[in-house]
Amino acid sequence: MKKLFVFAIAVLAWADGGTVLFHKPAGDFDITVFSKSEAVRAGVNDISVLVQRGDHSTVMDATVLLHLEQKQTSGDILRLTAIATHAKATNKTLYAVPFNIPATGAWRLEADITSQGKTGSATGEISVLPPLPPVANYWPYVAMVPALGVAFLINRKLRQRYRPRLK
Amino acid sequence: MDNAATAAFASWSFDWSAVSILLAALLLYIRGWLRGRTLIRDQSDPSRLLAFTAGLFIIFLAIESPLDAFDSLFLSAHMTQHLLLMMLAPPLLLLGRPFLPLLRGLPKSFVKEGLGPFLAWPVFKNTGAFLTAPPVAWLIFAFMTVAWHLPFCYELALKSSAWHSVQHACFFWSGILFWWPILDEHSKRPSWIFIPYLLLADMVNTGLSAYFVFSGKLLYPTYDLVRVSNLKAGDDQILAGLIMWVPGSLIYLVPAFLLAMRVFAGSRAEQAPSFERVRNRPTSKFSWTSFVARHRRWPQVALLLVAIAVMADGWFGKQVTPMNLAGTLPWIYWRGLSLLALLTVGNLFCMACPFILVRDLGRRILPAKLKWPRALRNKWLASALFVTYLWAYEALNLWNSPWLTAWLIAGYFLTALLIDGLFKGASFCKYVCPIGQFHFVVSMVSPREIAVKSQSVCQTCKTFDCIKGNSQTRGCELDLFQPKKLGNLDCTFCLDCVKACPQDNVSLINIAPAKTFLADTYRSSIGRLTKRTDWLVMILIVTFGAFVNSAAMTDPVMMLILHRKAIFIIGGTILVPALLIGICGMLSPGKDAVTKFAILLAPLGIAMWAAHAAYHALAAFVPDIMPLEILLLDAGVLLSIYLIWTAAQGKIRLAAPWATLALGLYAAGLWILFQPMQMRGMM
Repeated sequence: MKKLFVFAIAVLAWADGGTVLFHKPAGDFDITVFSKSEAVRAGVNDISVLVQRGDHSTVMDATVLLHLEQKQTSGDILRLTAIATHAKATNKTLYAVPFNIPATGAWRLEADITSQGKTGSATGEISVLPPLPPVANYWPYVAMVPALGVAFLINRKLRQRYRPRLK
Repeated sequence: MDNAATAAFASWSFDWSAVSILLAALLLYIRGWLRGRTLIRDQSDPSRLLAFTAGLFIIFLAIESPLDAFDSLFLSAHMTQHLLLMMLAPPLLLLGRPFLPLLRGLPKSFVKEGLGPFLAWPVFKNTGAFLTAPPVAWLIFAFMTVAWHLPFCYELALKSSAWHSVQHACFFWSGILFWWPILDEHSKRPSWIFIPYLLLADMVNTGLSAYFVFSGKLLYPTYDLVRVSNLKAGDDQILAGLIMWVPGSLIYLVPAFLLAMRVFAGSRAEQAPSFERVRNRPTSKFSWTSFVARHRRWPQVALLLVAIAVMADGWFGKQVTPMNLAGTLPWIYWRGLSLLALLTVGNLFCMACPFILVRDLGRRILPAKLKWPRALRNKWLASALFVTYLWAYEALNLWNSPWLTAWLIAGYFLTALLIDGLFKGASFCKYVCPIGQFHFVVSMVSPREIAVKSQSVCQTCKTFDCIKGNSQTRGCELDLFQPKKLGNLDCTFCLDCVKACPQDNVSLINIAPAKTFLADTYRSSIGRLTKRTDWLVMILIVTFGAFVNSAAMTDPVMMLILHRKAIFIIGGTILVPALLIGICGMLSPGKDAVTKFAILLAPLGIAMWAAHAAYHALAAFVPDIMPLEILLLDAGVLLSIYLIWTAAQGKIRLAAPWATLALGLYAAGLWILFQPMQMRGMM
């Protein structure tokens, strides 16, 4: 029951694909890393990975480990790790994970791939922008109030003008 | 089929917002189609329903199937998606003749008062006629087809999800415009003009697809960034061109051929549709309201069993909130479900209330002879208990204590048993139960009400069984006399009146939600609402309590009120509302202005409760619940402002302070929703 529940959440939870962050060889594999949104911003980001062999066939049985690293001003390295899986992807040929990136700036993204005894690793730099204010993300929903307010005022004007016809 | 192909075919997205819109459209159409079926036989053709459903299903396929998951990787998948959105879904939807069924599916008053003025507006009519004139519709369609396939525009859509949505919208709506004149059953244009109309469109389609196939250069470099299979980007482009060419052309040529056949056969289908009014419609004797009234005990028994399970788990189960029924059911799911029922049907929780079942059983032993004290026959006690509940929820962390929750439920049972065991009528429901009062207030925006079917039947009634009862069943224990009852206040949906009425004249009827807020007339057992300060306070506590309860779960407010929870709850539910309402009252002159306008803020408060409950009940299942929360709040503020405007009869000076307060509360609600919120009771 619990598995079913988790599966339902995973299916509903994350879309994927989108903007290509980098495309690199990783040992015996070729990997492409995508971010769902056009720009990676601090906060939750959907990162997905396509793992292929040299002949472009898709590797479906890989273990994909993603690490994000950023050097702090103190000199310490902040390192986040997550496992990307098919279950968290909408496009089931990809491996996806929602990554909560806590800070802006340059981050190093490393993808470690293991499949049938073979391993590969590739890294790329990603630039994380500041998060947008919530209103910027959801403005169309907020804009509905003034839009419907204006529609209501037009409605009232029209009712006055065309009252005889409406009756 | 290899693993990758299997996975590809399993890549469905099921975006809840898109699926909800499609389902809502289908339900609206079906409702209108069923209504139309009973009125005009010509519009009951099942093929129309089938066509409309198929059109919606095609949209679903286009935006939720693996086509969508692969549209950024394969041009051929993207092209198929566009073909479905532009050439297949629009004609199917239009074959369903959706205009009348969709209008009939909406509430009549909304169509008449809300949409009617726009539909009768010459600007609207003329714009519609202009856009659907064949030359204009054709040009728009051809322009959209060509322009969006220019490399610059197509790449823009591939790189930006917002532009991608615009592209899809352009394709779909230009498709609607293109097919509209062809499928317009009231068109006076001769059929033959649509043969060149379709053939010319096919020429544009053929030219474009030939360019895809034969140009020899890659038009959209993005598809060359990632090669997912053995299919090269160039070959994928040729495949996309062929999809556009062959199935795409068929969609134009088959209707053109059929039209040509019709023209040559001389049997034009341009005759006016035959509207045959359906008479002597058979009416069903079956009444759901009576059925539920007869079997009301079953949901009560079911909820009693649930309550027993919750209490048992709370006392004896693991004291881990997310894994305990007493930690999850009452605080997360029950609140959401009862609000959903209130906003879609009515006060279903009170109808199935397990406390009443226990009380009724207890009355077989207990006397229930006393009269409830006169001084307490109001909402003051219940208001105080509701504020106490809000305080206890925060101060005692009720949501995080299954053990305390179990005791609270047990205490509730005992109180209901004792009060109604000693006092006559439904004193507990009417004067004590804070949950019940909350439901009464929220049910003011319910779309249904228990009411008399015909006042004239009541005028001849001599027995008044609905309130007095009879030998078989009791009358209304909350003293609501059906002919004088207005709205859902104080109504527990017990349906005793339905069972008691010998004329079968009491039933669940549809009403315009929130309309009873505006009626300042005598209400049975309540009187005039503007004269009931206790009711006003109760409504305001529920309204402002929504914001206080939600804010207390956000990070900034939690830090602020850590040791001042009582001050925050009392200040937020009593002092601040009193101050704000007082200021608005001073700025808004007129008799009973405060009581008349202040209660109109309730829809906004109810919306805030609903948004908050939706967050807790659905956040684990829906990746982004924020749009739903904002939409609920939007609905609340719009309804409140509409009621204020109507009550002020368009007088801006009267309405302005209250509308400003509503907008201020809306802004506060948005701020609360945008804050990080504690996910209580969840893993």
